[in-house]
Amino acid sequence: MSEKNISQKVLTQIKKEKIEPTTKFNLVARDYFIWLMLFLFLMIGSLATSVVIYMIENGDWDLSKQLDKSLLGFVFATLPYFWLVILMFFILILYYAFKYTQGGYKYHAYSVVITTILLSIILGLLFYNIGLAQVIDDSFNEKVPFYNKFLNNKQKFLTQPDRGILTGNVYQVIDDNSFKIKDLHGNEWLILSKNKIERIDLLKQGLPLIIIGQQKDKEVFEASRIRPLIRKTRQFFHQRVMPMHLNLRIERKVI
Amino acid sequence: MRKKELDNYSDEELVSLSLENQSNFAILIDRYEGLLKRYVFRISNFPQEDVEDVLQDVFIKVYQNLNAFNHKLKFSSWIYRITHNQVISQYRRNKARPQLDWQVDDDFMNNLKSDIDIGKSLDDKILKNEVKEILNKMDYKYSQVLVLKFLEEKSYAEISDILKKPQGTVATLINRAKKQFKKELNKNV
Repeated sequence: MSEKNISQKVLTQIKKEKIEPTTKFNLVARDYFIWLMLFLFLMIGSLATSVVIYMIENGDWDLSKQLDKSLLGFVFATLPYFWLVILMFFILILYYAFKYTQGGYKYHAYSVVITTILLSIILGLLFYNIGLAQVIDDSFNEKVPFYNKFLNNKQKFLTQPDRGILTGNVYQVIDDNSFKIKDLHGNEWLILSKNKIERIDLLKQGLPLIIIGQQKDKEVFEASRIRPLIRKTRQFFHQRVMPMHLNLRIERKVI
Repeated sequence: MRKKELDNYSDEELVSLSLENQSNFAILIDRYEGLLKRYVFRISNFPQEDVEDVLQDVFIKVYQNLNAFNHKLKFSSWIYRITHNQVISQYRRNKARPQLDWQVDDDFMNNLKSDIDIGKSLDDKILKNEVKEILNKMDYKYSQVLVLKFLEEKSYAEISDILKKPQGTVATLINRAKKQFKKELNKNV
């Protein structure tokens, strides 16, 4: 090919192969598709953030002393890693998708990632405040088999009788000082209170409790403090306090 | 429209005119053929026939994507970007690593000297050979920005649009490339 006729060669090829410029419609559709994907990734990331906020708010951080752990150690042991991994994954793919937008390359990776994290936190707070985080957590508890078993560390963390903490559902009230519970693994425990239990309202059958005290025998636990295992939720910006469900799936299997 | 009249139109206007009539596209090809051929030679070590094949593919791609041209960009940045990507694709097809064979001419030496202190005491011919040897050994990520800055004389904003990197990254790359270049030059001379 000589230098002189390259334009002729190109035009001949265009005519011969009937090459046409890509239509504007296709290009606009591609742009809209990328922006739609970006929006979806941001929404998923924000929903994950809302569940992280929900789990942090229900962290029972004061129990770290009971487990002889520093607050930081307790935080690391019970962080909602599943949701944090989801959040990081969607931030990363959002960053890569953003690079495919027309001017996306002009922005530094860190500015895109920081902006995405900030937007996820703002939207996450909004979703948490309208109650979406709890809906997601409950749905995953019910429908995703491995969610509680592997991913919700907190309940496992709160069932360590040898370290003075036990969590379970009340299934039999014996008298003012004693009752029975079934723990996360389906084990039955006789709970003896040092003093008369003043908050008798807590001893409702099926109510999940956190009991702090000392293990006395294989199935006997002496309680020095009893409190309901609750969760703080929000619905349309109003806070509600509800009993938290224990992982019944595991209980049933053991029973 | 006659060729002479079309020659007075800007690149951006010619894009619109090419969409109306494909024969107008020939003006854009003629306008960029020489520049891009030189650029491809500078960023690759392809033989003459391969360079012309790359160029033909570039112009076909440009034509196919005329509607995608963003008028906020300079047309030259856009066509250089397509050319750069086409060269990289060609390397991938050949399963080879990009390699430059620098042509160190007087213009380049003058541009380089105006930006980097490369010493004046040396004989120009020896200096040119040293410079060529160092540039041929440099990492591709550095040499590609040096080509655009000192040979193609592009601004930071244009290099950013061509390589699809943020301007800050371009500035960092050029800075590091200059440092690496000076370090090697001090070792050799």
